[in-house]
Amino acid sequence: MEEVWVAGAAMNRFGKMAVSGREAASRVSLEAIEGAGLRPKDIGYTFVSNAFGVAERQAHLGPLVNTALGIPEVPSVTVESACSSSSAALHEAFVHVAGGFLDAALVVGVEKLSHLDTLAATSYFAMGADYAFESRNGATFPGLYATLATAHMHRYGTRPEELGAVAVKNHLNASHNPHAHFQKPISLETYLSSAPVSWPLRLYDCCPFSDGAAAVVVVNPKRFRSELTQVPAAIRASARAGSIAALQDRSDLTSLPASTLAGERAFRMAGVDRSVVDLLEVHDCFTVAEVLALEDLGFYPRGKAAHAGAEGETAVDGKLPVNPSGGLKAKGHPVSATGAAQVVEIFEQFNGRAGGRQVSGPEWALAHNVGATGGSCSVHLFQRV
Amino acid sequence: MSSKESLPAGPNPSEPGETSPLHSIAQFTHGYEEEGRLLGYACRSCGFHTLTYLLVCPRCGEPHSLEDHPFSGEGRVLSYTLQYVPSDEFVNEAPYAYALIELAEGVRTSGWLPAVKRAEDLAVGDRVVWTKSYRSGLVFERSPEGGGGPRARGPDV
Repeated sequence: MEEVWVAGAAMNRFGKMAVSGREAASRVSLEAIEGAGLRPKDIGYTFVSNAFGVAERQAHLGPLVNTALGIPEVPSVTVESACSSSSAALHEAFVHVAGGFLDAALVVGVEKLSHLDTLAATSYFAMGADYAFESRNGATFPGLYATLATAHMHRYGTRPEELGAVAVKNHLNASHNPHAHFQKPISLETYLSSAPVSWPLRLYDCCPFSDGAAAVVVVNPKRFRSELTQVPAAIRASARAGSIAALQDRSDLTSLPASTLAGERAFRMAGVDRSVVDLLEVHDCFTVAEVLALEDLGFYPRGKAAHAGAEGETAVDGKLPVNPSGGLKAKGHPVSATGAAQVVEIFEQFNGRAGGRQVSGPEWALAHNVGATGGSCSVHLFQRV
Repeated sequence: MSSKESLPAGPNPSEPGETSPLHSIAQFTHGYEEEGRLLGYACRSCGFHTLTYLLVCPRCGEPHSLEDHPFSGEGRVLSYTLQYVPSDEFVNEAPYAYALIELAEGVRTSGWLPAVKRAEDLAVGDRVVWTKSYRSGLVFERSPEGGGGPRARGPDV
């Protein structure tokens, strides 16, 4: 198997984009390629994610991006795995480079939904769930995570204030991230007084509907090492797993089994222990999802992560920094850009450019990206080169 | 890569008009219009029960062992939420409860309770019963028998 390095990574400001998804995807792609010290003609394949492109009346984005980059002859494919789309695309790129089929690949994820109202956006988001057996019975996307929160609270005594601590931390981290959708810290009082969306989840438990784009360039260092201009991130594991989509058909409602499986596979692949990890970007589409991720990935015993977070352990200067970017919760969640954006944060952290949210000297980082309520999941492990 | 072209031409399993021994996804929620029952599947080989769409039994792996099976519609709440921000199909119903439910037979499903308007009007472990409603999906209501015993001893979530 060939080594695979992240050589460049770029994203735009998440929030509301004036330009189309096509333009945003093309711009961040060029930025990631040039930032790596490469040229578009070095790219051998483009892996695109744009799950809700139909909301812009556009599918088949790959050829449009490649044409904008001056490489229309380069093959492309769209990879869709709900909210884990661009980490799934990264996995495809990894497999191609690791297998020796490609020397360089572009991964780009983009989403634009801000022109839709809340009702339409909520309906789009619900499409990642099981329509016939969940959505038709009244579930929304926040509603499904709310049932996980209720079950976690019922079994482990997890308190609203502990979920609120996740929101407060991630908003604080985002206030140091110029690319984040939200730029202001919030107080626990603001969290507790926010309107219910899907009880027990409040408005500030939920990630926003964001527009955004993020791109990652992966290379085989044998071919490109001498040309690279930034500190690379070696991909030591690229693992995915699946699960029954509908929550009701799973045996445990306080865990996402695909996270556990993908995490175990990733650590086995990298041949390292959890203790090497210096920072995590985990899938916190709702506050409770960060808690579930830390327990499912084995960083905390069941029922303990929420309390540890409220005690400050997951802060940027805590013993296990989690979501220094602000996470999906506050950096924003443009569905198909999220997985790539997690890698952008890790790349910035390895290059020491994260400013007020910089983790001290990180060598290993983990990215965890969930599709919908865990029907699919990606876990990547990165080592600073 | 080589043998596909030489495969003998057999019956196309997706031929229109082919009758499946199993009811369709639509009949999970509309079966009661014809049958007046909540329909799922049971496995002839190992006894596995389910209220979701499957072709192969996930427990014993037997491919053609599932058959239609009716369920009681009586169960308990495993977990729930109060939906304040609905999707477009439920825009005139919010707030309402959406619940994950374990039926008396041990099989799990989800459903919504239009009459539950406050989180404190439902609890994990409460008894609920399926109502033969013509509204979207599976509609449940709190069982007339009430809360149904000690809530701390509800089903394990």
